[in-house]
Amino acid sequence: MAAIDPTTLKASELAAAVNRGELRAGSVADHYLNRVETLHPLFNCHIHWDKAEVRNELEKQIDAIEVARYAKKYLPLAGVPISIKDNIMVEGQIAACASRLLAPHRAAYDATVIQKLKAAGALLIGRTNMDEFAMGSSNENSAFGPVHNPWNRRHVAGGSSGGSAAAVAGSLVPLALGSDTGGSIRQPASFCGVYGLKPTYGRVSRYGLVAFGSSLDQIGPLARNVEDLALLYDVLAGPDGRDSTASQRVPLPTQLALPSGNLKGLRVATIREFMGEGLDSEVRKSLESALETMRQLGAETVEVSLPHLAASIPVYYILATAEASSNLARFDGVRYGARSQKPGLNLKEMYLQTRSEGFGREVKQRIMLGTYVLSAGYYDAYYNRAARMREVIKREMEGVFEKEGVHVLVSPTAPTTAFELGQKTQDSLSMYLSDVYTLAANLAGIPAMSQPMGKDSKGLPIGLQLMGPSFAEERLLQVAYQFERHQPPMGVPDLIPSQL
Amino acid sequence: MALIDKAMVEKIAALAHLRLSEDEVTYYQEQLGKVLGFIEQLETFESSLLPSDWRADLHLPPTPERDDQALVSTAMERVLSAAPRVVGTAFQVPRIIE
Amino acid sequence: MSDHENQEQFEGLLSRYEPVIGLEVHCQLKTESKLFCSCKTQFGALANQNTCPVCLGLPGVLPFLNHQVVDYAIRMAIAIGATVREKSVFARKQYFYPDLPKGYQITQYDLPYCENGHLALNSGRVIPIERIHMEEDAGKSIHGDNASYVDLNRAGIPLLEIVSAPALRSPLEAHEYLRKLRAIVRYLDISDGNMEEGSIRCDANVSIRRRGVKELGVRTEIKNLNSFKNVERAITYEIIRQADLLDSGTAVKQVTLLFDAASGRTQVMRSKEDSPDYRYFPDPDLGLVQIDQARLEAVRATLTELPVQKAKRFHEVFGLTDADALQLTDEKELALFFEDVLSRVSPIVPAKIVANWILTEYLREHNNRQWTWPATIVTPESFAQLLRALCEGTLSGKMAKMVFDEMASTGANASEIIKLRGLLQINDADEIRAVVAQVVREHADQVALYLTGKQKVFGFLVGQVLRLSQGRFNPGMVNDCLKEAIHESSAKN
Repeated sequence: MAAIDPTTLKASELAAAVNRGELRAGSVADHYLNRVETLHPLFNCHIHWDKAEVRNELEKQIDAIEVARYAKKYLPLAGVPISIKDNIMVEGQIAACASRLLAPHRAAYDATVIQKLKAAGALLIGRTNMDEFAMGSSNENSAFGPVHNPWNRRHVAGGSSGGSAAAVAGSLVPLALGSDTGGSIRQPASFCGVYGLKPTYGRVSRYGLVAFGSSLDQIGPLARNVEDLALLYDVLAGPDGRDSTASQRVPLPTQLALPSGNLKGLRVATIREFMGEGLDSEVRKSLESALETMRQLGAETVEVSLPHLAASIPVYYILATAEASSNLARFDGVRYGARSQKPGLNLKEMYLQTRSEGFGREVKQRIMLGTYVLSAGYYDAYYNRAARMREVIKREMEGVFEKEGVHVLVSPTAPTTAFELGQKTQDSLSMYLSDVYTLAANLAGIPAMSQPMGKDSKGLPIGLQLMGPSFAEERLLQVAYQFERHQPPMGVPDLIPSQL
Repeated sequence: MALIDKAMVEKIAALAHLRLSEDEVTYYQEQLGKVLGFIEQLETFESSLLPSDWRADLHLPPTPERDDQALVSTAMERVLSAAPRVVGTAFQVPRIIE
Repeated sequence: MSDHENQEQFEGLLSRYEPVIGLEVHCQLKTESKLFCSCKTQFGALANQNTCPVCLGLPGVLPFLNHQVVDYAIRMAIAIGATVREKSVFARKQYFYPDLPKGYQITQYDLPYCENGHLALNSGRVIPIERIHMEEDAGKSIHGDNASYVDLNRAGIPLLEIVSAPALRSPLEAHEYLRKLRAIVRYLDISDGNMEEGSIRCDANVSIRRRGVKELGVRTEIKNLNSFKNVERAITYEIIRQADLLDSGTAVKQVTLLFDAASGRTQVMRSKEDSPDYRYFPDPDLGLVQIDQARLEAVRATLTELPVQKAKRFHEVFGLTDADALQLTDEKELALFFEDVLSRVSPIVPAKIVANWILTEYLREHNNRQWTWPATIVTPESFAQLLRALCEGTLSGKMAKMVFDEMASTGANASEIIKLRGLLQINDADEIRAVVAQVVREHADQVALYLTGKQKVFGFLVGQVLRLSQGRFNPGMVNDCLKEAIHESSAKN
């Protein structure tokens, strides 16, 4: 058999080759485990990672893939390596949420998405680094150190799914799972030059995802091309009897090709409020040229105004932290995690000590902010007002799709490209402000994705954000697919050796 | 920023069961002050788009219900084997003083 | 101080102060599985045996509502004539405690599913029930010398919290209200209603005010009253304590108290200033609980008769007194026992006699011997045999009581005892006449006296006959035969 280099294949091609028996899942696993091991010191994408242990755990899955092949059962992700963000439960594996508090925690059950991945034949290769409890936009809030951007190690990978985005960008794995509460899939995808999708709220089960902002969180795929993104999305999407907020609508497999073969008849809108102050000029230029490409493909481009989007940041930081303060109350050292080892503690001191030793600085800050906005006397001024404003934002965005006939909203994913490590760590507000373009989709519950649209003068990727109405993932993927075909490929970062 | 004083930082930390050093109190007073100062702008957005008695929780979709059927979970063993402190099959904590 | 003095002091106090009492009752629902997960609701033999990722509060888990809980909750709402909210909301109540795995309890806050119900006491006073909501139970902590141990088997078991208006006016009324609530949940078959085992738990809000004053006094809350007796004792103690304070010119402080059953006193648990800030907010993991008219009607259709309706029927159809009807329906099992016995003896035995025998003889033994339901020592069938024998005249009243005593102590059937002891009443006129003749012969003097007009002697003669028969002769027939014999003997003379 001619040796195929699995790195050169798309996930879809890889799965096809494994299903046909041209590639063995075991050798694919070995190939990628070697890459992860070799490249780990460069980017710090994975955490608490042990090659031998992972290889051992994969034996059963590799056997299952073989069995399926003999039974002529097609597995959509047969032998496809995937890395899982550290806040998604895989039974028996460490799930630390990049926190010291959960460092010893092994999951006692599989998340719903993990059950689906296993059933689809995927190889769970490793657990990716992230901002602690998914709180952050740079992956610098990790108890396991920051992730480095594969395009420039001095720059951040973005966050909170920084490890997932960097692992995909560096071809450590073809696919990764992230989670997105306010842009945590899209912003690192943008910073690392890969594709990332945050599905409609309720499209993918949250069961087994450690909750940050429960009404905002969604698990989503990261990949190096639209086809792979859709492939993984199709495996993840669907109803779940264990998540009350999951939609009961059964999704159809995504069809990537538009009937017309171009973007004719498509109404694409930019958002006036996102084009002003704070937007980097190179990013703006890149967006303008992306719009030009779309027009050449037949799309009509317009500008809409969404005046209430300016409230996104305050609304988000009230609601997300309120929910987080409650969601993180269970980390008390009683049943799991790292209980403080200080001797002679009484119960209350044990709680205080465990939480104070275990949580990092940003997590404590958000817990306090959320506690404050829910506390007696402040609920109406903060939580209630924010919840109402969220509805206003939601209606405003829905109105654009329903009344103004817009098919897709576009914007840059982030106002800048990846900033330097350490640049914003001393000022949480400036970090929060970098999420300005991504929060709205979480608040409105609508699907949104990021795809590469070029590089800036420093060679750092620039991301294009697409947003659509609820359950219009297929439309976003179709537009992205057309756009991708008319873009120069991102290529492989120089840091990645060509021979591995 | 006068939005939040040290006593308030300490009160919130106590509610959230966090113990802060003096340096941390100072740090969070500044950081939370800045963030809350920014969040204040929400007041300028009060919208007439919604009736004054409109509340978000009454507009959630209906919660699905499951059948009343008992199942046995095996997760307990794994949890106990990794728990910080276990006696028999119970979690041990410092003595609770009522 | 003796109980008697206590009682007098208490009554004196009640002439000056009016107690105002509200009860918050927590009632465990007897579903198969927990409120938000599929774990069994029975208590496991081992700590944490009936737990899963969800009720252990593991990272990443989510709640999923049990349909049956909502149906049970609706039953309760209908039973107390309450309004069911079409859209209600689950909220998180946040506090730290080792047996609260998530750091919050999922409960209902300002939008409970049920409001504005009521419950009538025997006096006719109607006690408004302000609200009922659904919530999950916490686990249990067991306290050792140096450590405590957390068992989460109970965590997540469904509860209804039933909150009365502050409309109860005495410890006795509180007791009665609670008994009636328990009767309702048992009639509805939604809870086993066992207070000692904790399936019903009660907190009491107590304040007092001078008679004639409208404004409410400062109230205290007494937590975790775990028996009917303790509810009464704790409230009584608290009323006296508050009255003593007011009499000495001291204000009552708003505090939360714990009742210590051993000493019979309440102790301060925390003051109002320390009252926790629970930071309630709608639980984002759950949607609205929607209860539309169709569902309400579907549940209504499954409801069987409630105590009030049963009592009314017993009164109207069977002609029982109101008091008897109320007492018989006080407990579901007692009412069912009555109905069961009645159906076996009707129409030979009138309902009134069945009711009398159950409320006096049966209940006395039931209480003294601490029997439980369903009745196994004296079964409805056995009790029916007894009453049938009584009304058919095969047993005298006195004999019936003897038989019942033996039924109660041995558990044997009425018919077996009657047969074994040869206790059947003798109605054979010839046999009776023979003994009567003997008595008339042996007591010729008394017979003569009777004939002179000393009526009282007749009773003595009857007694002699019954003594010789060991009480088995039909007393009516003895009467008749004796008169007959005396007249015959006088005619002969």
